[in-house]
Amino acid sequence: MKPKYIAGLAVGIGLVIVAVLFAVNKQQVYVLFATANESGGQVQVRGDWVKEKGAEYDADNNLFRFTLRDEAGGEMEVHYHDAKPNNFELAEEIVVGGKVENGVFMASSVLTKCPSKYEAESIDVNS
Amino acid sequence: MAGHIGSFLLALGFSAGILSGVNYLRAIRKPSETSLNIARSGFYVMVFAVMFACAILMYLILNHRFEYHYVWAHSSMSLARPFLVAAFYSGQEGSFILWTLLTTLIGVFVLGYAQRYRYEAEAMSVYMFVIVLLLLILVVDSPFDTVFAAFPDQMLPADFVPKDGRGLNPQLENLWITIHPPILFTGFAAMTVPFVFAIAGLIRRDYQRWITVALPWTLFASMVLGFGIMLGGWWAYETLGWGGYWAWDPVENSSLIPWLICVALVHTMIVQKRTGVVQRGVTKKIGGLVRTNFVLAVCAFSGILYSTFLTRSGVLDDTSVHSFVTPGNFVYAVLLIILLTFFLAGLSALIFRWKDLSSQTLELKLMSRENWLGIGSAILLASAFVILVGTSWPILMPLIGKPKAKIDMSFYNNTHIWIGLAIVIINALSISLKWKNTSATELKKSLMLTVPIALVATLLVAVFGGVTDPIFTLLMFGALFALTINTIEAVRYLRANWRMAGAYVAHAGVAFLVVGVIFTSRYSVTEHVQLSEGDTKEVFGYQTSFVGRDTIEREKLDREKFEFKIKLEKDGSEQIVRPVIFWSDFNQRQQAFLEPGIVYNVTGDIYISPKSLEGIGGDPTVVLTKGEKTPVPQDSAIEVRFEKFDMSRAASEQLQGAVLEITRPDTSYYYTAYRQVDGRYGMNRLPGSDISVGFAELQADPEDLARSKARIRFASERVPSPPEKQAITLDVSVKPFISFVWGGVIIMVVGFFFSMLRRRKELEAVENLGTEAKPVVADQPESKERDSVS
Repeated sequence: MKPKYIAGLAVGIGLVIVAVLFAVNKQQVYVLFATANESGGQVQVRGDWVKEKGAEYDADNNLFRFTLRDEAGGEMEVHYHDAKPNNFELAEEIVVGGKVENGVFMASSVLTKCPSKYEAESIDVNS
Repeated sequence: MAGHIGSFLLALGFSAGILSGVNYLRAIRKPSETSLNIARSGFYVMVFAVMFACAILMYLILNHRFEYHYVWAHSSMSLARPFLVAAFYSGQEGSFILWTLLTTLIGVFVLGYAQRYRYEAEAMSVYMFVIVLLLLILVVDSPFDTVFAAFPDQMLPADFVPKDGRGLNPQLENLWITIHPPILFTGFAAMTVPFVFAIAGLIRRDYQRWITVALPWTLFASMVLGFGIMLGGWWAYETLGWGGYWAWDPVENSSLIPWLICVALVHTMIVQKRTGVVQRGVTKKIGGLVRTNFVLAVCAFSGILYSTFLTRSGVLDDTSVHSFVTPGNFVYAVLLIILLTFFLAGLSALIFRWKDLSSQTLELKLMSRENWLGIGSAILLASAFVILVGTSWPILMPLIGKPKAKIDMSFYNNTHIWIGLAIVIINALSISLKWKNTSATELKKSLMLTVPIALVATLLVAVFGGVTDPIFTLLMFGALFALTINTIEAVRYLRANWRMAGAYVAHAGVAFLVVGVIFTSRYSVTEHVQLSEGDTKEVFGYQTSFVGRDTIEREKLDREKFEFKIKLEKDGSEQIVRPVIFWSDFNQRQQAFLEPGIVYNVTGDIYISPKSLEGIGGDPTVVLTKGEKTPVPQDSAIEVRFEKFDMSRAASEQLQGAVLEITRPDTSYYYTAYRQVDGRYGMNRLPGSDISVGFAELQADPEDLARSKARIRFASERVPSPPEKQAITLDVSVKPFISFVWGGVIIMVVGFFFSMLRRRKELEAVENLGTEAKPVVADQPESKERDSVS
């Protein structure tokens, strides 16, 4: 192998390592609230909105509050500094990204998954 | 019936495509007019079959044939015509059929092009292979399925026709959906062409000439895909109210990756073209970066397929704001197979010819433009790689047994500050250099002019634009350095021969884009403000007030849509910004849709994004579930408990009742408050008090009627309420120089267009086919190798 290729390879491998290290640092793992609470780090939690506990937007503080139930049934209050996300009520699943502070999930992102928007699973015969 | 014809046409196109591809393959092995004629006939049969299938789908949509699942799922009676046309491709199957149609139509041009440059059998055999696999997806996942077939569990009658379709998400109902997807998919389709010529080159052992032939198409694909991506960003900014134009969402990233590879390919192709020689259509000398070009051509196209796989297979479902539900295991498998087929087939072809290719060594001088073009490409590829890693992270982690994880946006931002800096600096340096080699004196002379200009400009921007953050100042200098040298060169060539200016125009566009990105990402400011009618608050020096609202799109019965008039006053001039809030039947009016209002300025937009709307003041209301009780807000001595709904008068008198138990210190009794089904209600005095109640709203819970709630309004004569008015909550942002983002990309696209025409003309000259006998002038006359090209 020529020195040129070795140098190229070294640069390439270096780049891969740097990118991966960067990525590991910036990743948010999908976990349950219990784990999120223990780790205190940046995570993602998937779950359903607990309708009975409501959802409200506090316009003065630009704060949207709701309670999410994760896949294992763990519930936690979520705070999100933005308006209520689109399709919140209709979402089949909600994914929040952020971290737990003092028993509250401080979300930097709230993703509402609404498959029925694109593909229906059933049809209303009477419509 | 029409659907059967549609399905038949897709199957016919698929078969004709196979016939054509097989005969093109035969023609490669043994050139024969018969095989070629069969192959061409097969191709045209396929073209017409695909076109007619599309026409039928369009016909079904325009005629509201809701017995077809696709038509039912993506259109409705009330949809305006432009959006009915858009419904053609707004769903999964439809977007595949659009992609197939565009690939087929571009194929007509590729056929003529390939014939002209004696590449027909090799290029078209590969091209047919691509179209056939796209058609396979459509045969598997047909847009012509009926609802009867789509919902087998529901025991629908075979001739069941729903009365209306589900329609289009009203947020998508705007101009953008008619422009963005067709342009993006044209870019997707065009990316096939460089791939096809690369494989054709490998088949034919042509390692140099294919570059010249494919280069105009590579530029075309970069131009169209780049423009399409920008339109997506503009759409997000202008209507969807995401605040920005780029959020590193998987759907955005996955089309950016192939674009970056394609642009890198443009540069490495130019290096090879420059360092090799083709005369009268015959290769005299093979240039450098031969293998790189083959690899990149394969990767760019595989990138498109990977993008489709990521966004359509559902693998990233919980990481993207765009939702596409899993289309079924079969489609998932087909997508994966197509991706692997082309990626592995392309690489295998290359490995098969590897020995052939290994004889070339490239000696580039350090101070040559070619050398820095190569380095620039490497940086573009690094960017593509970083984005690829980040976007694929949620898939990669489970593959190596780690928990699924998502990458935060800051990963991309942090890495791309440096990548962006490298790109503008390397670009500026490479333009400062000459082809082949540059003497230190020449370089110094160039830099002595451009660097001081860039430094002064950076200083001015720091003083007047406030760009003082160290890293961003450095990036700004890089962008202005690139802008200076490219502008000088562009002006020079625009006077002499405008086609030659393409590269400089495109790079000036990139520099503008970087300037725009610096300002918008680092210096955008947002203030959160709540305004009630008549209020005035100061925001960023503007006297901001909420002066009223207009109902718009009144003729559409499926929605209630308002433009809110926000007045901005500063230094005696005033303007009205109109953010939009609307409710639609699409989500049973459960939640408002929000659209920003924007004041466009070259120096910065004012962007007003509505967040919520509420009534404030007025008589207080309380929402109660069955059994719940509340003290009366104005008089806590009285308690009201919501007993149950009373629907006994609903059918006969259109009245809904809420039975309330009223408890006072001395007594307790039941009282029923009524509202009309259409929402009107009155306030009625509770016996023996100054309190009136009204049944303001019935909040039905569709899942569990027992959990439905009643909103009760209370009025008091002793304690009058403040007057009722609306309050709107807004995020007001100033986005400085965001126009440079759009403008930069548009300038870049124009540059690509010039370059494409230039390379096309050069091709004609090199092949000696052109009407013009004169060879194209090289852009630097001292280049001897260019002179020998004629």
